[in-house]
Amino acid sequence: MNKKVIIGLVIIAIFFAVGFFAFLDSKVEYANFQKASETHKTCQVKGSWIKEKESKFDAKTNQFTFYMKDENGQEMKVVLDGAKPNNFEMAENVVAKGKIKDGHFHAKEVLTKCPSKYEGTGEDIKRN
Amino acid sequence: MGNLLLNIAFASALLASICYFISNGGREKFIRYGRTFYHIAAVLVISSAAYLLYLIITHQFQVTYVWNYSSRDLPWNLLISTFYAGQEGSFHLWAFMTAVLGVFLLSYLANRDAEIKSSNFKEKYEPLVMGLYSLILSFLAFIMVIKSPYLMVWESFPSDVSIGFIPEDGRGLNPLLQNFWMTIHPPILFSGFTALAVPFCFAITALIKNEYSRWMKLGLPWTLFGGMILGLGIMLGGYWAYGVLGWGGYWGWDPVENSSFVPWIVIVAAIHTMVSEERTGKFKKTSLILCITAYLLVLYSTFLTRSGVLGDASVHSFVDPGQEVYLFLIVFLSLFGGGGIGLVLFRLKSLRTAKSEQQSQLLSRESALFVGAITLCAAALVIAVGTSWPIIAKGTVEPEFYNRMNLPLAILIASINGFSMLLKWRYSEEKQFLKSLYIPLGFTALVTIVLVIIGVRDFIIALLAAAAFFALFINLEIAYRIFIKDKVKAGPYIAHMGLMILFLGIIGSARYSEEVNVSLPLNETKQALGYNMTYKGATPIKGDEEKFHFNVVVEKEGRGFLLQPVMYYSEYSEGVMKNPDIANLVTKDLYLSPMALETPQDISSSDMAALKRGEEKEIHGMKVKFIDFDRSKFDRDAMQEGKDNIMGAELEVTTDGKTQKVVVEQKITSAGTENIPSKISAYDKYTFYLLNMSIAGESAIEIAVVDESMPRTETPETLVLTASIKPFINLVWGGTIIMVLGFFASLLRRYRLIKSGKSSAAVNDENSSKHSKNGRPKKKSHLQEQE
Repeated sequence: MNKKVIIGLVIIAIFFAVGFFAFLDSKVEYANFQKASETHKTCQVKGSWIKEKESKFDAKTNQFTFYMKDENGQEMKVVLDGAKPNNFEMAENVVAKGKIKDGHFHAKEVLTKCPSKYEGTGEDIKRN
Repeated sequence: MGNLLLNIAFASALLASICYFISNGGREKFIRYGRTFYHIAAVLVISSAAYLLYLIITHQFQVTYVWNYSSRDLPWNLLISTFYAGQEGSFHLWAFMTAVLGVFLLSYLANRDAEIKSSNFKEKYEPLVMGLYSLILSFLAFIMVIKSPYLMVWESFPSDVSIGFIPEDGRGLNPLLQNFWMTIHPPILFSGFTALAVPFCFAITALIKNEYSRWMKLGLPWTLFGGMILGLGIMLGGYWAYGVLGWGGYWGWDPVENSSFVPWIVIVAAIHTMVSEERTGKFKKTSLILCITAYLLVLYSTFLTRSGVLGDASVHSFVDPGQEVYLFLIVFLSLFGGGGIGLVLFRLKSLRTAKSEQQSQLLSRESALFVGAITLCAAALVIAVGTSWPIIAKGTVEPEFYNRMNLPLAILIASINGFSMLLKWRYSEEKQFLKSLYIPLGFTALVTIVLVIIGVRDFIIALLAAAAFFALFINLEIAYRIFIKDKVKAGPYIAHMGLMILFLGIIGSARYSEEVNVSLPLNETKQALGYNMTYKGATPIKGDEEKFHFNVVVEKEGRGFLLQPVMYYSEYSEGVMKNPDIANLVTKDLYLSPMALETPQDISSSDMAALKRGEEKEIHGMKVKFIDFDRSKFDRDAMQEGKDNIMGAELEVTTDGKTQKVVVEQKITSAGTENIPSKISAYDKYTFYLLNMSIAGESAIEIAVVDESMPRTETPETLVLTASIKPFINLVWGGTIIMVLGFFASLLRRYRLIKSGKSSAAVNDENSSKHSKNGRPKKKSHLQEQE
């Protein structure tokens, strides 16, 4: 084998090793609140916003607090770093990314999922 | 009528494809049939697009698609852009672009083939390229046949409305999409997707023909066009996210962004190996594979972003297009993917580079370009794996992963780019190469030292800046020398300069941005990031009275300006929408992103308490216990009819050892809720209110106990903002524009060369042989090599 190929292979091997470890570090798993409270890693919980319970934005800490129910029906307080996300009210589902801290879910990011709202339903058309 | 157009379009595209494939066997007249059918298909797709647009502009709300995405109150430019606001329409936009581009491709190929003097049919490219291209068009038309934009509302909702029903108005366009960028970003991006189909068709054709010299010369201008337009489209999306949507940045490693970025990286790598192949005859396989992969990645990206598989992983919302489309996308992808990969494997033997050419020197331009292309592919791989992760396993990848992985790759790309410019094709003398490094390296060292002194203390960031300056300097020098002689020849160097400027802009705006949260009470000046900011109140936007400008006067060292971030309540989204405002200050942007508006409240938080059933809390020295709900004034039937209703909660209040019961009530009307004040007889200083209740699940209420005689401490209206400084973000936009211009110059030059019937290699070989005959100095021929 010539030198070029060997150098190339070494570089590729290093690249894959680095990539693999970086990947393990930044992988975020889907979880429910139960699972999230067991691990201390960042994870992603899908659920729905409990509209009946209080939700508020605290201007001093710049945090938005709301209550969320995961897919198993477990409820938890979620504190998001930032304002209420766009389209929060019309979201069918929300996905919170973060970890459990001091008895609540501390989210760095909350995604809102409202696919069906982008398309009208039979109910919508009857209103016309 | 629309469906009819689409059905015939599908059929004629398919027929065009068949005729072209037959003509490849040598039957000349089938080429003419192929052309005719292709033109029919193109005209029909274009007419169908025009028809859909007509339906939108004339507000034909009986068409489900029109009803779903548009409304009467939209201005004309947004009305046009509702064309591609939904799935069906964006597929239609894609098909439309494909049809239009194909018309140019057809005439381009017909002209090139006509230039060939030999009547040997094997050398003609039109039959196979157009055959494949028509096949792609027919596939896109077929998607629209199964997922038609022409469904009537009574066909979509047969159980809800009767045949012939015409809705008064449409549902309107999502407010997030209601801006100028929506009108230009998607069409440009789809043009890019479409353009990548052309190199794909060329590569497949070459493999079928087993002939690898012409495809690349013919395909290169199209590859450049694809790279240019896709790159532009991606960055326009970035600008949209930054300037209007208020994501705070132009890039978030979101799946939708990534999935258009990956094909772009691959096509850029392909451009470089194609240029090397043209000069040296090497990297045939690599060029072919990259051209094929780029388009497969476009299809894969469509699959990822349209099929709903990434539903939980992206800020973009995905609609499940339905089983048929999902399956068809898989068929589309695997057919082209399997075909492409299969062909490469099948031709593997003849793709081997001849032994004599195989020995390439490490110190040669082509080796450097090859390593560069591999590095680009590594970046593409990293991003593709990260983006696909949600399908492979249950989970996503943090954006940090992409930053960490791509940073070293970017350093490699910039340095390889710089070095390669100093290397000659085939062989470089080591001594001469090292000598040519002195000035650029000296310059780089100088700039880097200055940067470190200014405050760049992050080692890897300093390294990237150094590499970018190094490559920028080398490209600038070469570009300048070439530019004075022949403007368009400087294209590649201009494009490289643009990329390096873009890198520097990314360093400044991403690594050195500062962010801070500010609360601005009305008319009270606060300091943030070195600026004095004063919130001056909100004013409705002219012509759009439901939206509000939140006027913030920003002032620094006597210079002031007004920033107006926007917030408004959107009925469509049932929530508050927010748009940032940006002050572009040459070396940096000041970015104000509105978060919330705090309005003065009647009840201060110290007067409020939340109680579960049976729970007791102390408020203002009184013990207050929530006994149960009082439903005595509640009437379920009345509520269902939408009439006013009263819900109550029974409290037990203990003061000075005396216990009393009180019922707090809330009136529920169709307009909302109204709190009814109640008092206890023994202690009437306080008024009780029922603010909130939760009946489902655990019973809980929120109450307020207010001393009405106390003066209210009014909190003024307060605007909450996130303010950030983005240093050198103009370099991001400027770099992109320069890069696109560079692409354009290269494209122009390639196109002219092909029209004049010469490849650039031929032109250059001619020149360099002339020079060596004349015994010109070495420096000059070095310059020639660089072109």
